[in-house]
Amino acid sequence: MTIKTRTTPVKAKKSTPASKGIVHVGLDLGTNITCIQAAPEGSKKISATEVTPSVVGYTTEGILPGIIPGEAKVLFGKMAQKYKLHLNLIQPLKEGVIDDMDATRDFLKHIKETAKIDENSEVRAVIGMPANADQQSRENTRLAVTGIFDKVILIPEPFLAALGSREESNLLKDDYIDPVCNSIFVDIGAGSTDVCLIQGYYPSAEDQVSFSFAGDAVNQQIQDGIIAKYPDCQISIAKCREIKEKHSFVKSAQATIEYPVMVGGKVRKLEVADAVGTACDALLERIFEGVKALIVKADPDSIPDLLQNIIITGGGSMISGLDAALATMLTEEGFEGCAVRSIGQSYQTHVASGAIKAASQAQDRQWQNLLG
Amino acid sequence: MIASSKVTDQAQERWDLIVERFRTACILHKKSESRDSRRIIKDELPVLIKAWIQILPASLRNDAKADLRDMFEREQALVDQSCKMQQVFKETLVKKIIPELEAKIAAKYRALYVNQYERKREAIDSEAAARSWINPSFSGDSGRKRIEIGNIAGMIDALQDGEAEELANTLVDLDDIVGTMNEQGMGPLLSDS
Repeated sequence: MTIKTRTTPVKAKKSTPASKGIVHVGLDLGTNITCIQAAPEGSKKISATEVTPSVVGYTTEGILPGIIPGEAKVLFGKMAQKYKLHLNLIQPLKEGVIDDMDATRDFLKHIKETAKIDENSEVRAVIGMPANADQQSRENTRLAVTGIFDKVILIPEPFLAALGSREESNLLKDDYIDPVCNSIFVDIGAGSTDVCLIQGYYPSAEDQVSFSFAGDAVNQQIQDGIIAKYPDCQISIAKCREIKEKHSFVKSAQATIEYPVMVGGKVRKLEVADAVGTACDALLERIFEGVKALIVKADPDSIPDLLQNIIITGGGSMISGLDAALATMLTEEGFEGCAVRSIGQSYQTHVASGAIKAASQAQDRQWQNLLG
Repeated sequence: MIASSKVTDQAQERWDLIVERFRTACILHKKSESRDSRRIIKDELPVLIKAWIQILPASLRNDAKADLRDMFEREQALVDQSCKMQQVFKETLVKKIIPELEAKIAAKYRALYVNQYERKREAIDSEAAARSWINPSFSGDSGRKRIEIGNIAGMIDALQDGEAEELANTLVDLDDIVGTMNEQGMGPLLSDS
């Protein structure tokens, strides 16, 4: 894998006066969505939560004045998506790890600004990494945040998702089901799906099943299905992702989806339900296999409770009917009393929330200095 | 081995191969790759030993058995010692050298990169120019210890130790240590206790 760098202008870095205080940052740097949370050290109150599409747009040469707001050279997130026609759009990450170093740094500077973190503060960030991230990917992440944050700790995302989903204030309540006491987490990202058995301990390698069929693969299968049906439509991956985000479903829950697509300059309504359903069912089938594999590994006595605590998170948790369909498949397989729930939109902040919790409890010696 | 003046070059070559394969089997065993180790011991070595003994003069065959026994003991001791040395190196790397490297060299490297990045940003107005790093694929897993969910500091320690150990494993390879000890004719350095 190669990491690209390129050259585009940004403002010169200001010299930083003496530090005012310490700010903790929780960062979920995702392939499609990035979430940053910030909190002053010692405070339980989150001072900022920002969720931004992970995309950077660099203006193309020769663009007319007045097209891009403020004549900006670089736009980020939703603004970059809005002006995509006039920009060279870059996704800083692919499959959960940094693919374009300079775009990542530009993006990180931007999200630090959006979180309104005092420039003079010492910023200590806990950053989520994919469970299967290798040494090189971790070092690339440290490199990407050098000069933007002061100290870091990198922690695998399943650990942070577990921490983030736990409501410590409710732990003593009788009716509160602790999501990390005895549960299976299914985290469907863009590049990979992680299925994780959590039974009161941080998951080890044996407690996890990870496969590279996730959001991006679903987009690809939708595109393949639509092109097979309408060979002349030239539908883009971005459009397929849009279709998935609006209409995804499993197990033939929707008979028809007519989606308007530009073909040869004219709007044409394509019937895309079969392509969407087939792609999402393929993901469901793999998740089912992964969950089954982990249930079998669990202590037999723990399984009845475990089956009632299967949690789907990540972007894929937005697929309509995924939780119910998975519960049905598990029940049909003989796992009785299954309860599967999708976390829904709040999945976007779980890893960052877990990261903030980890930051607040990390010891001084555990923070890695990024600059000597 | 039986004095080389008494055997042919062919016999010597077969002996060297037996030693090399037995050493490999010992190393594989230490690396918990028992299946491959057993395959060498059960399938490969008997054939090699038989072929070696066949070309020895009949008068040397009793010496050959003693030689084999000595060699098995020597090689096992060599690999045992190398394994202990590897552990010692690894512990030093994990506890002392790697954290120091991270604090000093890696930080300097990052500082260098950031300076270059900032200079590049200031100097060039637009136009993309591509450059790349090679990102070799490693496999890693740092979640080996059973740490309770509430013990965040313990979890971070386990992860960071795991990361340092992963790096140490790439730096201190058992094959290399055994090879070096053998080349240098080094005997046991550490006590068995």
